[in-house]
Amino acid sequence: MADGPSGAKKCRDDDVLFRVKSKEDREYTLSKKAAQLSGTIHHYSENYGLDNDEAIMKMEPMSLLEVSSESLHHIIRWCEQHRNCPIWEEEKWWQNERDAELTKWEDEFMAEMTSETLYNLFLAANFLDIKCLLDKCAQSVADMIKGKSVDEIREIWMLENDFTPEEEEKIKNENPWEAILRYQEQLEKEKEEQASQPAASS
Amino acid sequence: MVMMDESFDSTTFDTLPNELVVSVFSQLSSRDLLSVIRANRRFRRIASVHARNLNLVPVHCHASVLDVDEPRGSEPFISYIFTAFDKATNEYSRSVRDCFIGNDLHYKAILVQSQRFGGLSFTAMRRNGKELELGSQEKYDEVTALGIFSRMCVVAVRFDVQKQGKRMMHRIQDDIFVNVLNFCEKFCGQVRIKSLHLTSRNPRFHWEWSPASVHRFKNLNSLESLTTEGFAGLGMFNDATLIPIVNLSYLHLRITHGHREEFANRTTWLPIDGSLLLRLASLAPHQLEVDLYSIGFCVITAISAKDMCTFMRAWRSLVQPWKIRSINFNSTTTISEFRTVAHQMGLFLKDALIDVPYCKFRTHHPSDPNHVLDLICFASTGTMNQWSFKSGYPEFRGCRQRSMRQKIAPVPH
Repeated sequence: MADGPSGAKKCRDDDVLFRVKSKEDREYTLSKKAAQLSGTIHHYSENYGLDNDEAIMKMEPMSLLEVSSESLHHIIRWCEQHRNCPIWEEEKWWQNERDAELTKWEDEFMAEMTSETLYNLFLAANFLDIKCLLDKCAQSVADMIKGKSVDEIREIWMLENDFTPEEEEKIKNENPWEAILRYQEQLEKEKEEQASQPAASS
Repeated sequence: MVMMDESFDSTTFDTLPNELVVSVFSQLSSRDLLSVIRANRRFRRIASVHARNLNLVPVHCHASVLDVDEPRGSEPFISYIFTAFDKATNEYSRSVRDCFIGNDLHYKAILVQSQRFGGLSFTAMRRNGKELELGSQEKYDEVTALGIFSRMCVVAVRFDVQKQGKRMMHRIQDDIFVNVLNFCEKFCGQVRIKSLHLTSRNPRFHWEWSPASVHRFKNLNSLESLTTEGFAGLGMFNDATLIPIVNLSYLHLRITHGHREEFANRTTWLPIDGSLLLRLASLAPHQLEVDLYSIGFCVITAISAKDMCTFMRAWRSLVQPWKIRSINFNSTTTISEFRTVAHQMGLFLKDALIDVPYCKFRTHHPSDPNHVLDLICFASTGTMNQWSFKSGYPEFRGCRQRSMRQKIAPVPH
């Protein structure tokens, strides 16, 4: 697995470590501060009396049966990098103005993802209730189809077209906002034609 | 950018749980969302159910109301026209014309009218350049129309209310305002009103609001722009504290041509005093623009010299200078009266306020001495004086005027 973008933070020796276990039964650790980003870990800690350092150090690893080793590895990298950020309860803090370096790190982190890793990471972030990562994953999935046509979206997200031809035609005709989509498609065609012309002439 | 993985089981993005699909959809623009909901049935259903959390197509709603006093006591006839706009291309909240026509020519306008025997008719209107064409229409069934409305977000509403007949005893005050907003909320995906334009057409039969309408208006905290025509000294403005100002940066109270004749023969006292100015100062909205019937010389506010001085003091006490495009109003306060009160309140001490010949007063902001607040007395007609507050950097104002002069100067041959 890749180590991730340069400058990634890791646990320090003096950190109190929280133990977690992936669905493949592989054990990982993350610092107490990093673990605070997860709502699921927070509730687990409350339920199992992990409210002091001594209890955390003696804990049995928390089983994350829904999270693969690969996703857990990425989750821990994300949480360690954001360990100084507000804890899981705070709403939408990442939308405020913040460290440009952290934003750059996040972009590099997401750029490493394949569509499959992103999909699994998205589910894992949802299971662990890490809101800032959830938002970033949603943004990355949305970015994949921005400005794309319906057919391109189906191709990128590999969706099955389950409309009947009649339904599809009806949806097209009934939508008064359709004009803009046709206009966009026309612009794209024109762009493509313009781009292909110099190549053909050369 | 996420790398595409060809070996990846291709059905997966369709198997994301609904709440994650919604979180992805909420990141999409209204145009991308329209493409996505055409991709498959599930996405279409999710977008309809969770419309309130998504970026929908921003639209204007123009509600045209005819309320006629008939013996049988019929309900007011209301027709709605929904037009789309692209806020990147125009200052949508300001232009009356764009509010009606919309500024996004790629979209059709939609006309909704109530039927004689109940129900609603939905019609798409074509455009001919910047005009809406009623001639070439396409009728929609209700299911289709509701689908369209579920993708709309109403951000601006323009009311055109014409009351006719003798003054109806049973409906002097009406629920038109609240009924129109309820209609939008019932049918449209979202209602987040930023701009409101209210016109009362008949000078002899004013549009007056019921307490339910006033209450609804008072709670429109998303409102950024409010324009009224033909409301001088009436109904809701009898109490200026009813105006929702949390986000308000544009307030224009106007008199239409028809109403001007009505006011020409008598003086109307507007119950707006310095408290409105102080409420605005406490929020300091960016580029504030307020006009309280300043063009109607007979409509006079209750803003006193003391109110003006208090407002200037409030402006100076702000941590940062507050840019005010203009605040125009009429008052009985004269220049000499203002000067006297300003002396009494100590505004001239340490040159905090400067008397600029002949009819201007200027104060500099303590944190940025180049930023000034000007109070100007423009015109005087016997008992009434027209006043205006403006703030900004005076040298830039000069530069702008110069550049405008340069633009219109003839090019030498």
